[in-house]
Amino acid sequence: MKRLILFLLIPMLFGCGNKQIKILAEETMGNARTSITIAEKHGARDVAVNEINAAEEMLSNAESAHLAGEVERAYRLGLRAYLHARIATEKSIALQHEENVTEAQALLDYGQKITEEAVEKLETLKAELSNMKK
Amino acid sequence: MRVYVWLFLLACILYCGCWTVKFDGIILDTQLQNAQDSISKAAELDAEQLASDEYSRAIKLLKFSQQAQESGDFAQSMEFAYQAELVGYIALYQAKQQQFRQQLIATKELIYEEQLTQKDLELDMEKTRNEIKSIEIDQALKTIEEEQQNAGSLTTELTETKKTLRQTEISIPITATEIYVRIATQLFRDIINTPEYEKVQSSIKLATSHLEREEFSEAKKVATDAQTEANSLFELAILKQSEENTAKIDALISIIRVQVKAKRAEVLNAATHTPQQFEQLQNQLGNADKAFEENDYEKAVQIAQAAELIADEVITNTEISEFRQRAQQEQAAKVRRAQQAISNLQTAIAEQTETKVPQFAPQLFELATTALTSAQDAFVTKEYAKVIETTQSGQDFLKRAIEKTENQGSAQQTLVEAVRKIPEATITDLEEGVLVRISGGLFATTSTQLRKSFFPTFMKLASVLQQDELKEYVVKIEGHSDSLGDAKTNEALTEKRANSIKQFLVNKGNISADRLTAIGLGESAPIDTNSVTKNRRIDIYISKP
Repeated sequence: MKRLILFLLIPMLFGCGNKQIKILAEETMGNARTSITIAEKHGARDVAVNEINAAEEMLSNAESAHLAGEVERAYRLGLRAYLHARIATEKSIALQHEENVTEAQALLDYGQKITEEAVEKLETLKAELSNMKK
Repeated sequence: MRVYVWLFLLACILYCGCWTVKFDGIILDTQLQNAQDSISKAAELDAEQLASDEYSRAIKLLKFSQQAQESGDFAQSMEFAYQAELVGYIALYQAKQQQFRQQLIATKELIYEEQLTQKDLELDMEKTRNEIKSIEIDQALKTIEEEQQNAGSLTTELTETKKTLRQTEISIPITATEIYVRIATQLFRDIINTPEYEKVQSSIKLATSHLEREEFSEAKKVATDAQTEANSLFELAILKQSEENTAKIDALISIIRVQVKAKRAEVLNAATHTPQQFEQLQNQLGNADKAFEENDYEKAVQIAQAAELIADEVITNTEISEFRQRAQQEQAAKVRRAQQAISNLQTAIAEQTETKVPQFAPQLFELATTALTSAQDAFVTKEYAKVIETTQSGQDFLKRAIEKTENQGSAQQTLVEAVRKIPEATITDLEEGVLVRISGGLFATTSTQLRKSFFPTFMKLASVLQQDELKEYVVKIEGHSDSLGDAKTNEALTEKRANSIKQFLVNKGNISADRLTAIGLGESAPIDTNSVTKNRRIDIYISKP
């Protein structure tokens, strides 16, 4: 009896688990697509080419596996595609921040130069004033 | 055997399985190492703080991987390790983002601080500028006050300046007038004695007086009048000076003309020919110079004109005397030259009289003598030019005679020396030729055939006549006989014998027949009446044609 119950339960469990994994795989692939789109918006095509290409390749493989009914593999590949897309996004954002820092630094340098000139002008004016007072 | 084969195959399968397990273990270890590396890099960027979620997720995934490895689930361990690596990178980039954000914030803060500093500086500058402007305004106000104070004193100074300017304005025409008057005085000194000069001087004094009393209007009016008067005075001075210059030039021209004529008279030796008139001329010239130096030009002209008349007279008289004297001198010179020429010709002819010249060139010598006679006749009739001409031709004739004589003498010498070498011949030098006499049986009795023994004699004669120096000479062959027999027969015989010798000279001696003349004189020209043998002879005359 026990063997019979196990014999019936395992396929049922396996069937339910397989259905959940399929949904999970589809969701993961959807997340990966979204992440790729986000990465593109952040300019990953210019600054994180390898990462976004890897994400797209993984997603493509995941979709192929999904079509072939290899759900678990599709899930794993989708998850990898999602992670690669995230890396592309984070890298792109990091580089944007770096550019912002560079621009701000240039602005700061310019401001410091202006300040130095202003200090010189002020000193000249003060010297002139001092002479006039004499 | 089969058992061994199966055992071998089993061993191979076992070996391959072990190797696959070993290989998978290496790949997993590598993947785990990669995951560890990415997490370490993230940790270096302080991802634990800055990206704590992702970092802790990566750590968890790494732990899951290790647990799966321990439980022998190789595939799951591999998957977790891979995910751990990727999440580690996500954490790394998130940490970087945070760091850049912090840097950006810090930089922006600095920018704000810088801007604040700039604002402060601008405020300071504005404040300083305001202070400067304030001081400048104070100074400007102070300057204006000072200028206002100076304005009063400037007004007084301006009034004084205007006064001075007015004085200067009027004093300029006065000064100009004075300069005009001074120039007029220098142009014509006697202008100071004119009433115009006095008037201008009084006007200048009056204008100066008004100016000193600061009566500017009156001073200006008088100064203008004075200037007009000075102009008139200046024009008058120019006119007077022009007149004076004209008179001066006229006087100077008159004096120079006389000086030129006096110089000419001096060159013509007037001091000798007309001494009194020449002295008078010199005195008048001196008087004219004196009047000129005393500026009495009119008087100088009068004296010079009178002196010019004297000078003309002096020159005329002097020229006549000089011409006469020179003509006499020239005539005397002609006479002397004619006398000298006659004397020279006489001497030359006399010198040649005793020489061979009269012999060798008698005609030329005669012509020279005739020329001397003609010259002497011309001298008597005072035809001195003819004397010179005739004596010159006489000298030429004499010269040619001497030359001819010298030439002939030389040829004659050559001829005489040559014929002396002829055997059986007696030589007589005839000055203008030579006589070669050959006697002593040249022919047999009544024969006209020359004896062979005399062939060498005539061959030698032929060789003499062939000499270049004697080729101009001609030969005259005279046949002579004794007085025995009939005269006509003798004459004919001697002629034949002369011709026989001529033919011998032509045929044997190669002498041109044109140079030879043969005649027979018979017994008509004996040389010794006592000697029959001597008279039988051949006389050969060799001479120039």
